[in-house]
Formats: sequence, structure tokens, C-alpha cells
Amino acid sequence: MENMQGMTRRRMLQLTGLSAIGAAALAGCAKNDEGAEEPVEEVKKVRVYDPTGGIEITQAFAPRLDTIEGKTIAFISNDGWEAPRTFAKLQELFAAKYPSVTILSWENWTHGTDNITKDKNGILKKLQEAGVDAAIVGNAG
Amino acid sequence: MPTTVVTRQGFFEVVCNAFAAFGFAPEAPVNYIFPSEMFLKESDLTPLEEHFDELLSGLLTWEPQMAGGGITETQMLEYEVKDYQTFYTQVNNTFARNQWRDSLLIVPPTEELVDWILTGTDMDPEEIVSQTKGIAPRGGIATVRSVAVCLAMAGGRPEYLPYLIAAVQAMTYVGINSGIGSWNSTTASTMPAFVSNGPNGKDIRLSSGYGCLGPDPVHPAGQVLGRAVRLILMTLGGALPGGGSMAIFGGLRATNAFFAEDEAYVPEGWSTWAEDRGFSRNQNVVTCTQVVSMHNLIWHFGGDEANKESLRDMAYTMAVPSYHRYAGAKSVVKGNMDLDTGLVLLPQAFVKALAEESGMSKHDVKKFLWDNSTFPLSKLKICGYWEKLMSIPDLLEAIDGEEIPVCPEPDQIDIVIAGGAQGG
Repeated sequence: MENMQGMTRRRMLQLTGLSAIGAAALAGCAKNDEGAEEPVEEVKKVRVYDPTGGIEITQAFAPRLDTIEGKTIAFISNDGWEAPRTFAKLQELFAAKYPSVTILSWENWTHGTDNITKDKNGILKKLQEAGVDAAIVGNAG
Repeated sequence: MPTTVVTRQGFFEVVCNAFAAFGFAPEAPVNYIFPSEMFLKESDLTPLEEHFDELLSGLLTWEPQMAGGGITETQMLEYEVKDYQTFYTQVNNTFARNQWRDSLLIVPPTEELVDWILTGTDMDPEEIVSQTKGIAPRGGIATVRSVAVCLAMAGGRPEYLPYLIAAVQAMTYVGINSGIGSWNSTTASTMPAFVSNGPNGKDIRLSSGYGCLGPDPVHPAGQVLGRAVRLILMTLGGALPGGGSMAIFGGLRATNAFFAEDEAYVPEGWSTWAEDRGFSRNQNVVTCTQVVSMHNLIWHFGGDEANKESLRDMAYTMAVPSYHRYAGAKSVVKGNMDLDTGLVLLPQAFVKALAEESGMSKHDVKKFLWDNSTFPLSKLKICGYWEKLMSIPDLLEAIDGEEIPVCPEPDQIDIVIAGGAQGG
């Protein structure tokens, strides 16, 4: 077996049988600690598309509340997935922990998915007229 | 007004898509997702108490990840490639983690590959091709480029691109039927079926013959295009199982159905499906319809009576009450040729026999199927569709005695000639 030390690049190519084209793919050569040339692996940068594409955002989310204390919160119900029970429980929790919060029940406005869809923007107008600061929507299931 | 939502595990993506439908980023102002059990009858509501402040933080501290307005840019990922095998694995792992692919390995959509795919059209790569701006429910925008990305991932070729663009235009048609946002996210396991008419389908080797609904190495275009459609619906549209799409079974969705009508075997006096709907024989047309499954029947060879036995067999399988038929009540009107009544596929040998042995025109076949595919009103009443039926005047008018037809008029049944040469 040939001694690898001091091997020229030309000799290395002869031994490995690489074609001229294959050899050209190598970025170049670097010298090892003994001063002999060794091929350097080429690293290529490749860009790949994120397939989820662009989205058009026409509305920004409303800024959040600075505090919950003293606010008026509306419940909005789709009538589904035990919403009346969970909203009743939420009302109890607010009363116990945040008594300064005013809760306006889901019964004050349109409720149920089909009804809310037919009402279009009617519910938003009523919330604004009632001075609501924020809304909890449920139950999404 | 700041809002938060009480939602359950497994439904969060649906809520994000709902916000996207209103023009928000596809995110939701929710900091806690409750266990599904809490939403059942007489459930334990302790989680509400335990995570009350986390729920309220959706109104106080939640911040959106995507800021600003307008159209967000398509993101690029950069890889340092030492060898192709490692690169291929890394891309597929990333895409799997991000749910950017279907169950199969994808071809990495590199810039070079997508540029090659884009040579299949002279359209501007940034031109929006869907009839709705975004693909519902998520709202990802279908540009020529983003469609080409999905075609690249599916293993497509440039010559397939015009067909995929036409497919996107067709499936985002905003007509009087339920739109893409509905059928792409519904619990029903619908899938789009695409039929190509016109002279160019052969050029891209789109199958109209044996196995036209399945994989075929000699006619690969259909499976690739169908897969690309599914990738568009999942990546741009966000229709991931149990997330953006609530399809209970999601059957046949791996490749949907994308095939050509067998126009060489349309009998004298018969029309193609595209001609039924006002196009000419030499126009290249892609039509989309929603289907839910497939039913295979056997042709009873041997003359006029055998042909009619086969048609009756077919008609009886059509005579089922279908929620989809009645759910799209507004669209079930006379003259609406875009009604989703399902697709009747007739192979060339059977069509030849119907035309020559039985002397039937295409309209005669439709009338025969229509007459024999009625369903008893008494059974419809106990299937739970009575109320919906009452809102469809044109269908009520077509009731003959105690039997209700599948659609208001015979010509609204869709027939396409396709399949293997001998029928069977």
C-alpha cells in the first residue's frame, strides 16, 4: 500500500478513479498537518420554499386590556358544547375573584352559531352600545 | 375589542382558521386550551376554576406572532448541503414537524426546482390564481408560484402546471354551492374530483382509461396533480386532519381524483361533460366536483336488456338520501348544472353498447337513471332530512307520488366517459 504522506492531489485522483468532472466538484484542497494536500468537502447553500405561502392580513388584533379590574366583559355563546354551564361557572369565578368586573350575559344578545351568522355585524354594534371592554366567546368545539 | 375564546384540545387550529377567515393572522388570542372532556354533558368544570387566570390572560397579555398588515411574504429556509441524502432527510423532517406535507416524502421545493416548474406557464409568478383570495380555511394565497411549490413537492413537471392552476381556479369557484371554506373543513369526507376535457390532456399523459382514478407509471400526471391539489389544501388551506379539517374519515384524499374524459369514444350524437356545460369540443377545460367515495358496479354484458339491468343497478346505488344533496338547498334549483349529484363514470365499451345496442342518447341514459334512482319519501322522513327537504321547492315539485328524485331534472346528473376499454 502506498504511503499516504506526501501524496500529491494528482496521484490521489488516479487512485480513487474520480473523473475530471467529479474532481471539479471539490471546492479545492487544504493541507493537512503533515503538509499533504487533502480534498475539502464542498458545502452548498440551498434555499427551499415554505409551502404555506403568504397570508393577507386586513385586521389587526385589538390591543389587550391593561387590567381586568373595573372592566365590562361580555359573554358570547354559540349555545354549543355546554356553553350555558361553563359561562355560569365563569360568572361565579368572576364574582369571587374579580368583583369589580361587570359581566353582561350571553343572553343579552344574539346567541347560537346560525343566529350569530345571520345577524352579521349586529352583535358587535350591541356590544359597543353597551360599553363592553372585552368579550369571552365560547364554546369552540 | 379584545376577545378570548374558550376552546378545547384538538380544536385550536380551527379557531385560528376562523380568525383568518375574518382577515386576522391565522392565530387566536388564547393562552389556555381546555381538556375536551370539560365540554361534555354534566362534565367536571374544575379546569375552568384551575385555569381561570390563564383564560383571562388571553385578554391581558396575549401577543400576536404575526404583526402588521398586508400580504405576508413567503418564507424561505436555507440549508447547508454536503450531500443530497442528508439534505433530503432534513427537509422532509422539517416539513413533517411543521405539518407542511402529507404522509409521503416530498421532493424538496428548492428555488431551482420551482423555477423549472414555473417554465410551464408564461403567467406572472405572483399572479393570484384562486377565485377567492386565500385558500380557506387558513387563507394562504394561491399564486402561480405557491401552486408551483406544491407541484414541485408532489413530483410534478412544468407541463402539469397549467392544469393545476385551472384546478385551483375551479375549486375556488364562488358560485351558489357551498364554497371551498365549507367543503375543505367539513366533517364530511369530501374530496375534489377533477375531469379534464379537450385535446391537451393526452400531451401530459393524463389517463382516461384503465385505472384512471389510481396510480399509473405510464400516465403519472393524474396522481401527481391530485397529490399537488391535496398539498395546496393542506399547506395553503390549512386543512390538516382534526385541525383545519374535521373530516371524520378523509377517504381517498391521498391523491383525490384527476383524470381525463375518454373523448375518442364519445358516441355520435353524445356530448362531453364540458360540452354539457357550454364549452366546445376543442377547448381545454378542467372541471371540479365534490365527491365523497366510490362505488364500483359490473356491466351485465349481452344486449339491450342486460344494458338496462346494469343501468338499474347503477341507479339503485344512486338512490340514497344524502346530507350533501339537501345541505346545499339554495343550489338545488332547476337548470343549475353545477349541482354536486356525484359523477357517473361509464367506460367506452358500455357507452358503445348503450348507444348502438340500446339506441340510447346521453339524455336517455340520464333520464333512465333519474327515473330509477328515486327514494321513498316515507324513508326520507325517518332519516332526518325532512326539514331540509321542505326548503327545496324545485325538488319538492319533482316528487312523483311517494318517490323523490336525486335532483330536480335528469340533465343535472353528470356522466363522464372514462375507464378501462372493456367495461366489466
